[in-house]
Amino acid sequence: MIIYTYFLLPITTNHVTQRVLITLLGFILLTTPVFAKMNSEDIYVETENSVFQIRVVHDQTEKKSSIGSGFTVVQGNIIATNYHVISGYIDAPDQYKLEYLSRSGKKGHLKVIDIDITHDLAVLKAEEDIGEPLEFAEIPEEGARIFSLGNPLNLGFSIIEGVNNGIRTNSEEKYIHVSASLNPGMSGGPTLNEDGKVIGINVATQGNELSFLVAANHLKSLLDRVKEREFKAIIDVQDTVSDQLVINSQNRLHRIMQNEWGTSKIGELIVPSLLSTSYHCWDASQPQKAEDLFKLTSSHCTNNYNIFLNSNLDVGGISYEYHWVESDGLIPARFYRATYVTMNSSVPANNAGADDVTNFSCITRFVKIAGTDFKASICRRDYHKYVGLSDILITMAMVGKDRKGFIFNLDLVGSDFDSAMGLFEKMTQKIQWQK
Amino acid sequence: MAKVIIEVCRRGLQQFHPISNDRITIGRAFDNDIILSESTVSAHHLLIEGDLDAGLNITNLSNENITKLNKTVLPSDVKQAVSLPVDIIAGSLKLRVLSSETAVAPTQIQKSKGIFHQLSHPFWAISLLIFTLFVFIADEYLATPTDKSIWQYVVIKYTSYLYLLLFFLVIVGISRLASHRWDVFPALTTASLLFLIPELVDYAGETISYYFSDDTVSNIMKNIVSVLLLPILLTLFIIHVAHSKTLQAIGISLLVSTPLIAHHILNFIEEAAAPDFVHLPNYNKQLSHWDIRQQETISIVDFITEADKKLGDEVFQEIVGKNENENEN
Repeated sequence: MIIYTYFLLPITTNHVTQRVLITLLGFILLTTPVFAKMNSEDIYVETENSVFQIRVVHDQTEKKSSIGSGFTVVQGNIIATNYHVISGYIDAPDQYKLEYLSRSGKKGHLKVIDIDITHDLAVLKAEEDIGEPLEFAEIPEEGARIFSLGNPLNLGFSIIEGVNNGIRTNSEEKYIHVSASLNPGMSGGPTLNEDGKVIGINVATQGNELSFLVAANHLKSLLDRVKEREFKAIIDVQDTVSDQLVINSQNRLHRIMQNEWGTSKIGELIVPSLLSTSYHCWDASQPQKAEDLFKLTSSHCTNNYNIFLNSNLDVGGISYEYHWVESDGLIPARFYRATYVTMNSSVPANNAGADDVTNFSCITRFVKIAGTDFKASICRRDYHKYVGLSDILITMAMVGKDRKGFIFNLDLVGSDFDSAMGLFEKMTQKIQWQK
Repeated sequence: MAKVIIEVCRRGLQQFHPISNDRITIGRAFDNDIILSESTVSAHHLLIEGDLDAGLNITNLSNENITKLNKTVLPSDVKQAVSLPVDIIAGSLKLRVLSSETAVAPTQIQKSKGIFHQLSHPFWAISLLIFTLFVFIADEYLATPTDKSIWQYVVIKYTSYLYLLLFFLVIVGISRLASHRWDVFPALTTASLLFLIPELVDYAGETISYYFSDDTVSNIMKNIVSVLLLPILLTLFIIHVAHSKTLQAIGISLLVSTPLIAHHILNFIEEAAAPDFVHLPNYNKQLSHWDIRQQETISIVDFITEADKKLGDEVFQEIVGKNENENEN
C-alpha cells in the first residue's frame, strides 16, 4: 500500500524537493513495521544477553540443585525470576548459593534483594552489570504473538513462540494464559511482546501448549519497592515471606467477604456456593445404586489457588464441601451408623509434615445454625517458619434429625486464623432452610 | 494309730504313699518300696527307717545328685533323725514325709452363686451364644446402608463365628486335658462373652463419646477390655470349673493371656514411641441419633470466641516454645 502510494505520486522537475521528501516518507513508512514488530530471530539477537540461567548450587558439591531462568531489568545487575526457582536456597541458605550462567558461559553469584511470594517473584542482584535490562509493556491484545524465553531442560537459551490468551479472570492467581510450550527450566524467564518488551514472567505450564505467566505489572510493583530502598536487600527473607503470606490471606479473605455470594440448594438447605468468580464448584454426588437405602447429594468448591512455598508445600487453597444425606428405608440407628457417621470426617488438603507445621488442636461444640443444632469442630495447626499462618479445618454436622444429615467442611490451607473465622461465620449465616 | 505318709510332688500333682513298714527305700530301681520314674533320682536314693513312736531316720543312699532335708544338704550314707513333717529334695523331685494325722486344708466349696455360674447354666449359655450371634448380625446390619437379604448378613459374619468356635474348642479342650471333664457350657459362656462384651463396649463407647464430645473415656474402656477381658473370663472359668483359689486362678489366667497382653502392651509402647506429629486432626466425629449430650448448644459467635481463646493460645505457645528451643540450640 505504501509502495503503491509512493509510485502513484506525480514526479516533475519542479518538484524535485517534493519527490525526495516523498521518497524518504515512503522509506520510513516501509521500514517502520520491520523495526517495531520483531520476529524470533530479532528477539534472539536482542535478548540473548539479557536472559540467564539461574542456579541453586550446593555449597559443598558445587553442583546445581535446581535451575530456572531470569532476566535483567531496571539496571544491568538486577535480575528478575520466580520465587519458586530460588526457593531451595531460601529454605536452606547455609547449604546453597545462587548463581547465574550467561549464554556466553559466564557465571557469578547472586543475592536476594526482595521477593513477592504471592506472585511467585524474586529480584536478585549480581555483583556487576551482566546484561542489558529489558523493558516492560502492557499485556497485548488477545491473539497477539508472544515470545517466551528461557533455558528449558538445561538445553540452553531458547525462544518459544506463542499466542496471548489474556488474563485468567476465573482464577485468584490472575495469570496470563498463553498458548506456548513452556518447559521446566524456563520458569522466571521473560515473555515478550512483538516489540521485544516484557509482558510477563514464565511461571507454570500444564502441557499441551497451556502455559501461564505472571503479569509484568506485579514485577514492576516489586521493582518500585526495590528502587525505593535503593536496591538494598531485605533484612529477613523468612519474615518477609511470612508477612506477605499473612497479608495476602487477610486481603483475599476480606475481598471474598465483600462479594455477593452465589447460593445453591443442597437437600433442603440453601448454602453459599461461589464466593467469587475465581471459585469453582463441582457436583460430587454419589451415583445412586438400586440397592442403596439412602440418597447422598454433595458439592465441592475450591479457589484453585496455590502459593508455592517449596516443592512439597503450597498454601492459599480454600475448599469447602456440602453433603446432604437422607433416607426413608433406614432406621435412625442404621442411618447414623451406616452412612452419616462415616461421612463425618475432614482431612487437610496439603501434605505439610512435622518440619512444616504443628499438630492440629481442635475445639468441638454444638452450635445453632438456621435454627438447627450442629456439632461443629474447628481445628488449627500453625506453620513453624511462617508465623501467623495456619491450616484451618472446620467441620459441622447437623444433629437431631433421625433420617437426615448435612455436613459442611471448610478447609483453608495457609491462612490467617482470624480472617478464616470471619469467613466461617459469614458462611454459616448464609446457610438457610429452603422455604 | 498314726501312719507315715510319703507325698511325691510332680508337675503340680501330688501322689501319696501310706507306709506300713518300718523300713522303706525310695528310688528308681524296681526293688524299691516307692518307685520314682524321675531321671535325676538315683536307683536307690533314700532309706526311711523307724516309726512315729520311736522316731524316724532318713539315710541318703545316693552319691549322685544332691539330697536335702528341710533345705539342708544330707551327705551320702548319713543317717539323720527327723521329726515330721519333713521336706526332702531328691535330685529334682520334691517329697514330703507327713503324719497321717496332719491337718488337711479346708474343703473348697463349689460356687453355686454369681453371674458367671448362672450364665454357665446350659439354658443361659445357649441363650448367650444366640444373643452373641444376634449381635454379630445386628452389627453388620446397622453398618450396611444397602438392601440385602437376612442371609447375606448372616453369611458375611462367618469369620466371627469361626473365631468364636475356635476359642470355644481351645477352652473346652484345655479344660478336658486338665480336669478330664467336658465343661462345655462354661466354655461356651466364656467364648460368647469374649466376643459379645467388646461389641457392647464399642456401642456404649460410641454413646459415651457423643455424650462427652470426647473419645477419651471410650478409648480407655476399649483398651481395658482388650487387655483385661480374656484374663478375667479365664479366671472366672477356672474358679467355676476347677474350683481353684482366686489368686491361683488369676495367676493361671494371666499366664495363658500373656501373649495377648504382651501384644497390647507392645502396641501401647509403639504408639507412645511413635512420632509426635499426626497429619490428621483429632476431633470427636461421633454422631448419635439419640442426641443425648453434655454440652449445650451455643451461638456461632460464642463458638468462634471460644475457638479464638483456646486455639489461639495453645498453638502460638507451641510455636513460640519451639522457636525458643531452636534459638537456644
